[in-house]
Amino acid sequence: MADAAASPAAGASAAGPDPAVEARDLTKVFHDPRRGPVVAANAVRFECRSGEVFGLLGPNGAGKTTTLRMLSTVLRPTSGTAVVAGHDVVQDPVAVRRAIGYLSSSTGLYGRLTARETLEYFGGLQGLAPDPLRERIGELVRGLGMEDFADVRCERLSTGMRQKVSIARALVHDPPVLILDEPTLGLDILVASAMLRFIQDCRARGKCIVFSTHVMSEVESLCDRVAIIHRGELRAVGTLEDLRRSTGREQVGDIFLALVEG
Amino acid sequence: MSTGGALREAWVVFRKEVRGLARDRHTVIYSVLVPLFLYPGLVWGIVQVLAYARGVEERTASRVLVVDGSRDEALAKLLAGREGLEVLLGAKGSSDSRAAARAKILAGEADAVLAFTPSREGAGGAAWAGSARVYFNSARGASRRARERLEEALAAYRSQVLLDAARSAGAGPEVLDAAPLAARDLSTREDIARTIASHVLPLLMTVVTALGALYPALEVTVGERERGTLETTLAAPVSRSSLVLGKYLAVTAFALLAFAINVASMGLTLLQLGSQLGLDAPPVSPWALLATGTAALLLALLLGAVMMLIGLAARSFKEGQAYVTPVYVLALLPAALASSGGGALTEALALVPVVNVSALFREALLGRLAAAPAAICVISSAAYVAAALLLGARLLRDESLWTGQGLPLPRALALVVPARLRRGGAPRG
Repeated sequence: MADAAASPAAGASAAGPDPAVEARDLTKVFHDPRRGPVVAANAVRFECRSGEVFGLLGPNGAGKTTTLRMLSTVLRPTSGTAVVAGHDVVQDPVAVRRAIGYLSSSTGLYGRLTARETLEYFGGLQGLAPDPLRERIGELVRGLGMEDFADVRCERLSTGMRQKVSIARALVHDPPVLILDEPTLGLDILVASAMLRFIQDCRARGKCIVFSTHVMSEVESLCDRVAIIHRGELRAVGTLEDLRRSTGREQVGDIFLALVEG
Repeated sequence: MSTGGALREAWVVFRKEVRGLARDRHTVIYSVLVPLFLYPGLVWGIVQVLAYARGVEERTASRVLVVDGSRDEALAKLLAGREGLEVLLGAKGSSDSRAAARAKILAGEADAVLAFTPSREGAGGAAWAGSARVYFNSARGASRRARERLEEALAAYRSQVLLDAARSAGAGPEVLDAAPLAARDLSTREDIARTIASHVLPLLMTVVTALGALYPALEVTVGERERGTLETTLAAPVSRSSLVLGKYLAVTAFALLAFAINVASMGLTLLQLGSQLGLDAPPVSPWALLATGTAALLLALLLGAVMMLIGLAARSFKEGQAYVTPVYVLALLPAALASSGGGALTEALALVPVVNVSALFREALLGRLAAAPAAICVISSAAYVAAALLLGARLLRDESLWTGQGLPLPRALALVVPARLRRGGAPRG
């Protein structure tokens, strides 16, 4: 790992004092029938505080999705653990799930439910009572400009509308931590920029955001700190300035290449 | 988590699944429309076609070729005058009547052949004293019918010959009635209707309930995984057990819905057909209603659990369909056996899944259900369902399945066989 990330807290921003997300040597090994054991993530270690956007930057197959799936308790780590909003992902996964909003390019929406029904379902699973849930859904529908299609089935919505529903779904219980796995993948520029504005807005409201991407410009415009991940291993963690100093490169792409190929 | 909390979660999942499934075209077709229209329509249509075919057959005379001229005139006259028989006279003295008959029947020139073999000393008697043989083709309905008509005619003829002989010997017709045999049917029209229902309904119940469970079971498991929505739900704070329970209840609800719709629709169809056939509807006792309802519930629970288990283990919807189809066929075999009047519901049979429920249903319809086997049937079925659900929850915990890695045999064994019986430890997940 590069010098900039000698400790997990390297380059900590001026965000909240205690880490809202702390990955402690997260490791995941899959068993492929043909290839045998495949290490998708190897001792991944970082932390992210409230009011901070932490970017996980890496090429396809680098281990970003696996890491975020472990953080969101969808996958159980082979070894290591993580603490999210004070809860251990291995010991208390249900409490972690109550504290996070998880959104990825592969998480689908129920096509036969309307946007409002989708929010009712996930709000119900989060244990919200009917009245506060109805109120919260109203806020989200207004806040995300979903009035025109809130009662339309998701299978009939455009990509942009669906993305708004997904965001509302992740926020329905107002979680302190957002885990976003390549949230702009496959979106056109208008929808993608709306998504980036949404992330900035969440940071302004003090949420802890861990998001993965392989788009360099998103890292530059959004991230307070960034981790470079390649072949399941973190190559560096720090602010962009830290990484510029440690690699001697200016552009994010060059920094990335220096860390990945070096 | 508390039981109340788990049930509340399962209820949330159940409501969402029911709402989604009610909007799924395949589910509506197989759980509502097919039970409502297809099977009652098929039964009604088949009965109408059979009745029509029977009517045509009744009206059509059987063509009977009579060979060998040594027959007596009285018989020839009797056959010719018999309703439903068209007598074709063949050549006398055929040397190979069997081969000739076969050729004529296969060529469609006759429905049956009546061949006479004269006795050595029979020539010149008042009545023909040889033997007769009927050739027919049992693979053809018209030929079978011709045989029946011929045998009726020959029996009447034989009685007449015997009566004539008795009179010639100075005896009265009463000699023919020595050791008379009379059969009396003690069944009522209700009994007949009940028996017909016991033959038809168990098989149909299994077909419809299995079909009602099939699409929902795949839809809420492997279908959801394929669409990427399962991961969304797995990231929500819901326990795997509650998730499986909520989905399972929705699958069972649709299987039961299919059953209920079919029973109502089939009931109306059978009532209509019964009045057409002159049968009375059997009275349904509250006990029989309770037993048939329990049988339906058990079948829906069992088939729903098995099919959902398959859906959870399958890697794709197509693979799920491929796995479910043999199970569906396997479930029909015992039902077919029960419908054909297989053995009574014994204590041993009550332990065999699906077979026990089919037999329970049949015995309830026939009004002869015994308490002990019925109780064993309920308890054993509940145990199978519980085992399937527990396995389902374990499958859902096993991330290798829903992340598309498949289920290697050692891992599958680890899910099924208790840890203490294996060398390794319990599976993770």
